[in-house]
Amino acid sequence: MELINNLSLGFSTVLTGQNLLFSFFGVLLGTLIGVLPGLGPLVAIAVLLPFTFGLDPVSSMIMLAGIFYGAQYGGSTTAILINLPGEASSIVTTLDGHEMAKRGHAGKALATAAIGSFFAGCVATVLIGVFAPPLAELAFQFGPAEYFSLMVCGLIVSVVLANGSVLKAIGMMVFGLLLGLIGTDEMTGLQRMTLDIPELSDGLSVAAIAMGIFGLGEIMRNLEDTTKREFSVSKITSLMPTRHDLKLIFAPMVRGTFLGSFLGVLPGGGALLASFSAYALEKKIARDPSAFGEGAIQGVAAPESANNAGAQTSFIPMLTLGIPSNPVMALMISALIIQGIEPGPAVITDHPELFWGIIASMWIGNLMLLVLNLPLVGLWVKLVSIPYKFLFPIVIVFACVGVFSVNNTAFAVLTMAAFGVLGYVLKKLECEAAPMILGFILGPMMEGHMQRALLISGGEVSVFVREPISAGLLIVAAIALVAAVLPSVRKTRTIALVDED
Amino acid sequence: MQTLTLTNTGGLAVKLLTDKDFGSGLLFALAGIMGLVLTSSFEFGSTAEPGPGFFPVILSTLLILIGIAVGLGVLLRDADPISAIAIRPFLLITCAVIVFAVCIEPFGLMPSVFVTAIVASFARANYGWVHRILAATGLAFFSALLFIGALKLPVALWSF
Repeated sequence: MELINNLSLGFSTVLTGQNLLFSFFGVLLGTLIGVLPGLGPLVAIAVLLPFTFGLDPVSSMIMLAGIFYGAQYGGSTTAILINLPGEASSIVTTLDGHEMAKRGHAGKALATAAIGSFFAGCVATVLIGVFAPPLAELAFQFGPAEYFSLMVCGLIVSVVLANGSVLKAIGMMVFGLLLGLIGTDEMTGLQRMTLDIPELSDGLSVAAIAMGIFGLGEIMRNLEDTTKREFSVSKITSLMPTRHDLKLIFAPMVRGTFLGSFLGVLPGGGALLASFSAYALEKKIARDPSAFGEGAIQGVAAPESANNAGAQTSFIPMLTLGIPSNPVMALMISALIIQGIEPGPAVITDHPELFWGIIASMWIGNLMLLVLNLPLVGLWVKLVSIPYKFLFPIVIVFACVGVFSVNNTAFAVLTMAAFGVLGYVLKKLECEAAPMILGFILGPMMEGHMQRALLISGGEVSVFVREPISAGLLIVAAIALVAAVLPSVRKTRTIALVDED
Repeated sequence: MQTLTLTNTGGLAVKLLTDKDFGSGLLFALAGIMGLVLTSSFEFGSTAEPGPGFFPVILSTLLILIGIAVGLGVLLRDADPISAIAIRPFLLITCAVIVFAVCIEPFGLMPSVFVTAIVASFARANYGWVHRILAATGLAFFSALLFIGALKLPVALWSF
C-alpha cells in the first residue's frame, strides 16, 4: 500500500523531538488565539512568519498548520462555556453547546466537541492522503487554460457561497481582482496603478488587507456595541459522554466530517461555511428539529466535526495546485516560498517528507489537542475573562506588529489602516469581503494564465472551452452561478447562511 | 458614545445616499473608474497578444457596469438604509494604526506600542487614565518580551 508507506514517511518525519515540539507549540498557540475573540489564526501566523525564516520548512509548516486547526478547537471551548465564539467558525456551536452548558452538561458538550473534532481530524487526514496525490497528478496536466478556468470556477464558487446579493458578491470579486493587479506587471515589468509609490511595486500585502478588513473592521464593529457583556461561566461537571450519547453523535459526526471535508476544499468556504452547513443539515434531517437550539448534542457534534475537517482539507488546493483558498493559506504559501519551495503539484514528488509530514502532523496535532484541551479548559476560561477593553488594544498592537514584520515596511501598516476603513464601510454596506480577498489573491495568477493561454492559442478565446478539463470547470462555474440565482436555491442558501440565530 | 444615525426621512437624494445598495454601487463604480483612469494608458493589445492594459481595463469596465446595476437596483424597491455609524471607534482605531506606522521605524517597538495602545484606548468611552496608562505600559513590556525577546523579530526595541 502506497498510502501506508507515505504516511509512515510522514510519521517518521513528525516523530522527532524538534517537530513534535513545534507541533505542540503550534496547537497550543492556536488554541490560545482561538479562545481569544478577535485574535485569529491570521494574526498569529503573520506574527510568526518572520520567526519561521530560521526554521527548516517541515517544522515551520507543521507549526503554522497547528495554529490554524488548533484555533478551531479553542473557539468552541468558549462558545460552549460562555456563549462567546472565539472564532467565527464556532458561532453555531454557541446555539446548542451553550444551551447544554446552561443545563449542566458543559462537560459533555466540551467532550463532544473534542471527540467530534478529533474524529474529523483523523478522517480528514486520511482523505488528504488519499485525494491529494491523484489531484496533484491531474494538476501536472494543467496548462494555463485549465488554471485560468479553475480560478474562474473557484471565484464563482466563493461568490455563490457568499452571503447576500449575488451581484454584489461578483462586484466584490472583480474589485479584488483589480486590487490584485496593483504593482509590477509580470510580463512587461511596468508599474500598474502604483501612483508612483515605490512600496506598491510589490503589490498590496495580503496580510495587511486581510487583517485590516477582518481584524480592524471587526473591532470597530464590536466597539459599536457599548452594552457591557456579562459572562457567566458554566461549571464543568462530568466530562465523559455516555454510551447513549456516543450513539447519538456518531452519525452527525460522520455527516459533519464529510460535508466539512468537501466544503473545506472550496475556495472562500472553509471552516466557517462548513460549520453552518453541517448544523443546517442536521436540523433538517433530525426527527425532532425543535430540539435544536435547546441543547441538542447533535447540534454540537456536527458543526464541530465539520469546521475541523474543513480547516484541514483547505490545505488540499494549496499543497496540490499552489492555489490558496483563503488568506491564511495565502500566508502559508508565502511561508513556503520564503523557504525556497514553490507550492504546486511538484511538492508531493520533490518534497515528500514535507507533504506527508504536514499530513501526519495533523493527526498528531489533533491527538495533542484532544489530550490538551480538556484538562486545560479552566485556563482557557480564565483567559476569556480578560475584559474586552484590555483585549482590543492587544489585538491592534499584534496586528500592527504582524503586518509590519511580514512585510518589513511601515507602508504595509498604513495599508492595513486603509483597509480597516474599507472593511468597516463594506460591513455597513453589507458587502461580503471573502470574494474580494480571494479575487485579490488570485488576480495576478489569473492574468498570467490568461495571457499565456491566449498567446499559445494565437488569440483564440475559444481555447478555454475547447480543452475538456477547462470546459468542464467553466460548466461547473456556470451551473453554480445559475443555481445561486434560481429562486428556490436562493431561499435555502439564505436559510443555511443566515437563519441560524 | 457618539453615533451618527442616518434616518430616512428626506427625499430621493437622502434615500439614495443612505442606501446600502446605492452605496455599494457607487463604491464599485468609483473603483472601476479609478482603475480605468490608471490603466487605460497601457497598451491594450489584442486577444492574440494581450498587453498590460488588457485585463485591468476589462475588469474596470466590468466593475463600473456592476456598480451601475447594483446602484440602480435601489430605484426598484424600498430603501435599505445603512445602520448607525460609530464614529469614535472608527476614527480612533484608524488613528492608532496610523500612529504605529509613523512611529515604528524612527522610534522602535516599545514607544510605538505604548502610543498606539493609548490612542486605541480612546476608542472606548470611560476607560480611565489609570487603566489606560497601565494597559499601555504593560503591553509595551509584553511586546518587547514576546516579539524581541522570544520571537527575535528584527525590530529595534527603542531608538531616538
